[in-house]
Amino acid sequence: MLKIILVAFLAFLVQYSFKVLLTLDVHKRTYNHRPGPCRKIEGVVNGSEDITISYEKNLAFITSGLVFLHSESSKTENNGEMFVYDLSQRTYKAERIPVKNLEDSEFLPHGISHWVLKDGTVRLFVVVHSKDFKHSIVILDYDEKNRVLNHVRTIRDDKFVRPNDVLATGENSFFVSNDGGCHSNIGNILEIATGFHKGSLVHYDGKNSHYLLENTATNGIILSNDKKTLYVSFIYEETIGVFDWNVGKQEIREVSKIETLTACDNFHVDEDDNLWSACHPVLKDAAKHLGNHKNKDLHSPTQVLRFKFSEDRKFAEIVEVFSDEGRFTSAGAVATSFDNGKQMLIGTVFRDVTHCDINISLDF
Amino acid sequence: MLLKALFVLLLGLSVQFVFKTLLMMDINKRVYNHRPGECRKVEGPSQGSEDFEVIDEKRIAFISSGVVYLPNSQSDVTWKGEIYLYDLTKRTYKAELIPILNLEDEEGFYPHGLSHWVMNDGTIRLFVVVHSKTFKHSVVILDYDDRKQHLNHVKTIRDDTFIRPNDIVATGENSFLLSNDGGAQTELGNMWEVISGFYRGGIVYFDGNKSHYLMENHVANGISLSRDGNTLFVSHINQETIGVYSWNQEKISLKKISEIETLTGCDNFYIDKDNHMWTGCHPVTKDVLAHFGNRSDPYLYGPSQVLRITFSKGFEKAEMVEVLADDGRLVSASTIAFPFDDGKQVLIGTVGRHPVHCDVAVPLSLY
Repeated sequence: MLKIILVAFLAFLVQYSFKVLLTLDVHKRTYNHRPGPCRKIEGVVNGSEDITISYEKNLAFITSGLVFLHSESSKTENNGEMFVYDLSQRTYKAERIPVKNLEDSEFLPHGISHWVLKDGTVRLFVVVHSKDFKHSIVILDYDEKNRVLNHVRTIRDDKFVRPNDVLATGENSFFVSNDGGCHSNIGNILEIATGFHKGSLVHYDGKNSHYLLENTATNGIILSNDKKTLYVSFIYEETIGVFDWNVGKQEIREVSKIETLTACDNFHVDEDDNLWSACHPVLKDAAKHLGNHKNKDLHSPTQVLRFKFSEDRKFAEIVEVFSDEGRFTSAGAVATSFDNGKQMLIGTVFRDVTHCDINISLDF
Repeated sequence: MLLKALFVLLLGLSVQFVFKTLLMMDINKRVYNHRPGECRKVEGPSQGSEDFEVIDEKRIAFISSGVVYLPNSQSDVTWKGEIYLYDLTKRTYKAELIPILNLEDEEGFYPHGLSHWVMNDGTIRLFVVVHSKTFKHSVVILDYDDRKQHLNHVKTIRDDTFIRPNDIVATGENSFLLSNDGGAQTELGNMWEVISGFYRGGIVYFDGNKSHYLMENHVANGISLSRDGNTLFVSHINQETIGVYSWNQEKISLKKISEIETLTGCDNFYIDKDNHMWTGCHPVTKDVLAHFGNRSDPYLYGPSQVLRITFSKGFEKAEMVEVLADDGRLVSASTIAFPFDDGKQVLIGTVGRHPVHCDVAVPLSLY
C-alpha cells in the first residue's frame, strides 16, 4: 500500500517538475527584430512599468520607480516619479512632472489609467505603494498649463490586497487587479509554485469595492474603446481573459480566453480597438532580472504583441511587432501605439522607455 | 537489491529521455507572425522550393522544386521534380520552369540541394542532389545554356558514400562537398535514428574521381562555404545547432571551430556579401511533422522562421535577427532565404510549397 502511494507521489513529483521547467521556458529563446528604427527616450531610468496614452491631448503618462514585495532588494532610497511624453514631437525626451499635495510622502507608482473629465481635464488613476509596500489608489488631475499633477484623492481599501494595475471606469470609479496576496518573497514564490493564487479583480464604484474575480492572479487590465469589453491578463496562466463589462450592474461575464504561451503584462488599446501588450517570453530570464533588478548586467527578453480580435471575440490574430533579447529593451511591461499605428512606446519594468517607428503594415 | 537499483536507474533514464524528446519536439513553443514588409507568393514552384542557388553576376536564382524524402512507396510521389529560374531584377512574382535535356533518368529526377560553379568560359554549372521516386540517390551535373534558357545534362554521379544526400557545395568543375542527413532509408528507420540520437549521416568530399569521408555518424543538413572558401557551415538540424568548420581543400581536411546553438532547426544557408548567414528554419518541430509526412495534402502546413545570423570574428558567438516568422499560412516550413536588391528584398524557400518574395522595410543591423 505504502509502495503505491510512494510511486504515485514520485510520479506526481516528476510530472510537476516537468511542468515547472516548461513554464520557466527552458529550451526557449528570443530572436531580435524591430518594426522600424528605435531609440531610447531620455529622462526615464528607473523603470517605466506602465504607460497611459491620452489620444485627445497627444500625451503619454509614464510611471517610474516600481517597488515589488517587502524585501531587501526592494528597499529603495529613491521616491517614485511621474513622467509625461509629448507624442506630437519627436523629442525623445520625457519630462518629469511634479506631484503636488500628496497625502503620503512615499510615492512609488505602479499601474496607471486615465479618464477625461467633462471639462477636458485628464484625470490619472495610479496604483501607489509605500516603501514598505503598503497600497493605495491615488487620483491626480493633470494641470496642462503648469505641467503639474494635483492630488485629488487617495483611496485605501482592504480589498486592495496587492494591487498591480488600475483601470478607470468613471470620474471616481475604477478596477483594481491584485496580482497575488503574499507580501514576502517566499510567500509569493509559494503562491506561484502551487498555483493557489490569492489575487483578485476588484471594482470600486466611488464609495464601495466589490470582488469580481477571486483566487486568481490578475495583472494588466484594460477596456475596449466602447468600454464594453474588459481584457485581463492572467499572467501565470499565460492567457488573456476577455469579459463583457456591464457598468450599470457592475458585472463581468467571461467571453473567451486567449492562450498566448507567453506572460503578457500590461495592456493598451489603440485607435482601431487592437489590443497591445508587452510580454515576458522566457520566464527563467525574467525571474532572474526582476528578482535582482539593481544588477545592471542582468536583462530579460521583451516581446510586443498586437491582438486583432474576431467579431465574436473568441479568436485573435496575433502579430509580434517587436522582439528583443533584452540587451536593448529589457523586460518590457507595456507597449502603446500612437500616430495611427505608425509609432510605438515600450515601457519596461525597471529600465528605460523605447520609442519605435512602425514602418510595416501589421494587417495581413 | 541490485536489480531494484538497476530498475530505478532505467526508469530515471527513460523519464529523462521522454522529457528531452518532448523538448526536442518544441512542445512549449509557438510562432508569432511578423513580416519585414509586403510579401507575396511566387507562382510556378507550387510543389516546393527547398533550395535556391543565387547567381550574383546574372542576378538570377535557380530553385529546386519537388523534393522527395523518405517516401513510403512510389505512389506517394504525386508531383514532378523540377528546376525553376527567378529573375531578381523584375518584380514578376513568377518563376520560369527550365527544361532539362538529356537526363539519364527523366522519371527519376527529384532535386534537393543545389550549388554552382562558374566555368572558365563563364558557363554556369549546376550541381544537384537528386533522388528517384524509389529514393535512390545521385548527384547530377547540369550546364546552363543562357541563350536557350535550358539545362544540359553533363554527368550523373552515383556513389556508395552518397548515403542519404541532402545538400551540396561545388568546389571545382567536377568536385564537391556533400552532406548526408542520416542513414535510414525509411520513415520508421529515420524516426529511430532521430529519437535514439545514433545519426548515420555526415559529410563527404568528391574530388572528381573518388569520395572521401570527412565526417561520420552525424546529422548534416544544409552546408555552405564562406565567401573566401575557408569556412564550412553545417546544419546539425536535429540538434538545433550550426557547426562551423575550417575547410582545407588541398589537404581535404575539415576541422571543427565552434557550434552555435540556435534552439531552432535551421535547414539551408546562404552567405551574403557582408558575411551574414541567411537561413530558413523550422521553429516548432511538432507542428511541421504532419505536413512533412503527407506532402500531397494541401491543407497541412508548418511554421517558418527566417534568421539572419552574424558571427563574431572567431565564430564563438552569433547575433540572430529574425527577419520573418509565420505560422505556415503564408510561408510553410521555410528552408532557405537570401537578400537581394541591396538588402531591400528577400526570397524565402519552403520544403513543399511556393517561395515567398518580401520587401524589407525594417532595419536588420540592430546592435
